[in-house]
Amino acid sequence: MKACIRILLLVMVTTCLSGCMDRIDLEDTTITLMAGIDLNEKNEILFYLSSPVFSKEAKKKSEEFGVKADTFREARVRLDEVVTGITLPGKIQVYILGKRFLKHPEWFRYLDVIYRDARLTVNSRMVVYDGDVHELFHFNPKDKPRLALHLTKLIDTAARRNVTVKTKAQDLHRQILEKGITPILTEIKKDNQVVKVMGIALLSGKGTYVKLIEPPESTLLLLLLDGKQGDVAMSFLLPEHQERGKIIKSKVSIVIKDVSNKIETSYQDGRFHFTVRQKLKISITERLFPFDMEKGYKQMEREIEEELRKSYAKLIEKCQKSATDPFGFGMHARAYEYEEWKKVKDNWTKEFTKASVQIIPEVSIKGNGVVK
Amino acid sequence: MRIRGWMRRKKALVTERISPSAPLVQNRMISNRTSENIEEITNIFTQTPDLVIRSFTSNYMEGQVTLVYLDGLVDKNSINNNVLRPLMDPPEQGGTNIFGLLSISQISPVYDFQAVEDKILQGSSLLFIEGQREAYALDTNGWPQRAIEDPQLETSLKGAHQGFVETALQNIALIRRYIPNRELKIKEFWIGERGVCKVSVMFVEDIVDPDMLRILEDRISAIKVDSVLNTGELEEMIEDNPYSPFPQFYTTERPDTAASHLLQGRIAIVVDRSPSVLIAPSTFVSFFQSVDDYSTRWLVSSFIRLLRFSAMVVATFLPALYIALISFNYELIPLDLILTVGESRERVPFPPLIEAVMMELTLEMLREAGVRLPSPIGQTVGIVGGIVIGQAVVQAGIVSNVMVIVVAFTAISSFIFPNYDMAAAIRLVRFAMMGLASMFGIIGIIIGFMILIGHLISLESLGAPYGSPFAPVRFRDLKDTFLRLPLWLMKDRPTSVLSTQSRRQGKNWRKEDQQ
Repeated sequence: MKACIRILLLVMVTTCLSGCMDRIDLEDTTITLMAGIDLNEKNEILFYLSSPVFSKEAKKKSEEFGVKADTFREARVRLDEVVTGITLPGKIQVYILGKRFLKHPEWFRYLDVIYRDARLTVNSRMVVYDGDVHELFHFNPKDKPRLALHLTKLIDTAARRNVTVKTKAQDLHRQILEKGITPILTEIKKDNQVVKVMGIALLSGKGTYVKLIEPPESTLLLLLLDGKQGDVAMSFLLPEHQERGKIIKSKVSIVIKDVSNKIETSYQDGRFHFTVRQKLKISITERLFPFDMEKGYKQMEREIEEELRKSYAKLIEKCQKSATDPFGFGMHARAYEYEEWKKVKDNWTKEFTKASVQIIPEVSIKGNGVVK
Repeated sequence: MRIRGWMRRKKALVTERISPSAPLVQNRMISNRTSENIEEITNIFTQTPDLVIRSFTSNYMEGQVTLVYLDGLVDKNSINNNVLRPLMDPPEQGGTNIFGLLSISQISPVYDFQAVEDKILQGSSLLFIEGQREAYALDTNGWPQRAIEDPQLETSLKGAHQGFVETALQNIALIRRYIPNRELKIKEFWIGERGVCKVSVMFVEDIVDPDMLRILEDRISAIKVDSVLNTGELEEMIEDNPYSPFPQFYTTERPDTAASHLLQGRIAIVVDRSPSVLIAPSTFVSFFQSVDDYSTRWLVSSFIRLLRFSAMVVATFLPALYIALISFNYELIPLDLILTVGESRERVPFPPLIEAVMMELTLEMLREAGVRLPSPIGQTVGIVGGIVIGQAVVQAGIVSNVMVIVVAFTAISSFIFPNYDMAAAIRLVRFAMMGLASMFGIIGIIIGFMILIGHLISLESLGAPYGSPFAPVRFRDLKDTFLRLPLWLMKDRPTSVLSTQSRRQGKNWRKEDQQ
């Protein structure tokens, strides 16, 4: 009898569980792998999705749809009218944000659902697309797997090579809310039947699209931001070694084995000063001109340092001109010069344009390859 | 309270019993006239063609001598050479009485016919002598029995190759060979009203916990049944929680395993006519230990232990996890896998639960069929099963590829356990988990897991905690669980056994432990 009551109680308790309600078998779903948002000429918001088709009878491996809607959720309802299964957002790998959409000042608010609904993943990659998002979604290259998978892999490997940055939805959220840094995103473009990673898109403090940083400058930006992650390879033209009348350029290629950034922050003469001492341990992988390394490796170090310094200066200038701080110098300002930071924190990007930033690379050559 | 409930159940068993065994209506004493005695015996054993009554006149004794025995239960050689020959052709310098004359190891006098009946049925031969009011029961037992062979279920690579047989005396001898010590004691019980069976409880007296021994004795003596045919039947009648799927006593067919447990302070129960021995108390972990673990290097056997425990997790949860992931928590499947799974699931017409249950049942049927069939036909089952499970089902689109892999994994995992009873229990739990997963997804699996853990730690074996050394936590005993640490570190007997000598004997421990 006692056992009966116990079992009854157990059954009653378990039937109250929420489990049975949200049961959807995998084959009844339309798993969204890629979602896109764009703004058209009439200032209407367009939502796109791309999801894999599992049926063997279908000739295409994925389906793509686009709808006009005011919010993400509305779009989902509209999309459910056309797709086969129930659209599920839990596996979205890439969000494609149209460049035009990013110029719209309140665009970030449209992404609210990504952060509010726990069923959506915040590990999706955020990507800027230069062009009509529509044409990307309906692009079906024959020599590539499903576009969503192709893009995912493309961005991941490009980020590993430090060509571009991999910003996840969660990172973007932090970058937008953080006052001491401006957001950066991956930028891609469809170029002649190929999707190409263009580099890093700089966004303003408010989040609107500002500028594209192309490689190799994007690599430098990432070196400054994260130190060494993944493979970093660079090539420099050393003009001193250029031999006259020859076609071959006096180029040297290096891989960076280790980087450490030391940032000194100060406030003097009404502006912030940042001095970055960047120690680089490098190895030479390619050299197109004759040079006696045994005697002259100090000289070589200095020449590479000089080239690096020049490139950095150009990059910093570019960022300051466009009033962006993708390096997060603002955070250092807050940490070391809080009194001054407090005064300017709400328009840091404007203050940053005045700041003096010096990058001092200190190169030491650790390897010269296996030939002399 | 648990004990009381248990006693109540046993009592119910007793009152339900319909007819007691039929004792003799009149237990008559043996008469001094052999002809009367023979008449009485033929009255007792009617329709017993295998009863042999051999009367003859001995040269040694005055008057008629009669030998009575059941053909087939006695050793013919012994009767011919050691009983009949000395009686018929007595040596010149024979003994003065029957004890000196017969070269039989045990001769016991009996006085009434109840004893005569019992002795004859147990394989003794009875000698009646004209003019004596007693008969002699001669120990000439010799029933058909199997030779000692390799154990069937618990094979081992490096352990001994002797398994228990169906004769309790031999089994006891096998165990005694490992523990030649006078503290190894045996208590005998006779169970069964009709098919009486000898149950011998073996223990090492100065290490066993006396309370535990008493509980076991009480339970065994409370059994009132027709007969106990097998160790498994006895186990079911004396275990603490008969509703649990998990075995609470370890059944072994290896004398070395039994001896190792006896030395740890446990009790071995040898049931006559059954080739396996019951070990009590047992813990959950002991079902994952095998004798080979102690004879291989400790790193190797630790690795194998880990394999077994991970196989337990796989065998219990993998099909459930498959169902949960497909039906509820698709976010947890990695991206590349979800596409593969999606493609192979697309053609399957059944929901994941039906798909999984169907395949798991097929597997169980194949296994059962393989066990019951004679080995030449058993191979055919394997081939049919391999083709059905491996290829045809997938090609026909009834089951997905991934499900086949899941089934294969669980099958391999469930064959790795050294103990058959535990493997069977885990197989059963698997289906419950699949049901829960199909209703509640991962949450269901977690609920099932918690119920399982709760059940395991609430179990007791002879009053000792089943979950030890994990619940209650006994740090010293953890040396012989997931890992098997070197033997010289295990200087204590398991705490859960409550043995009266917690330290093992011997001085070969590390220096600082010596006194």
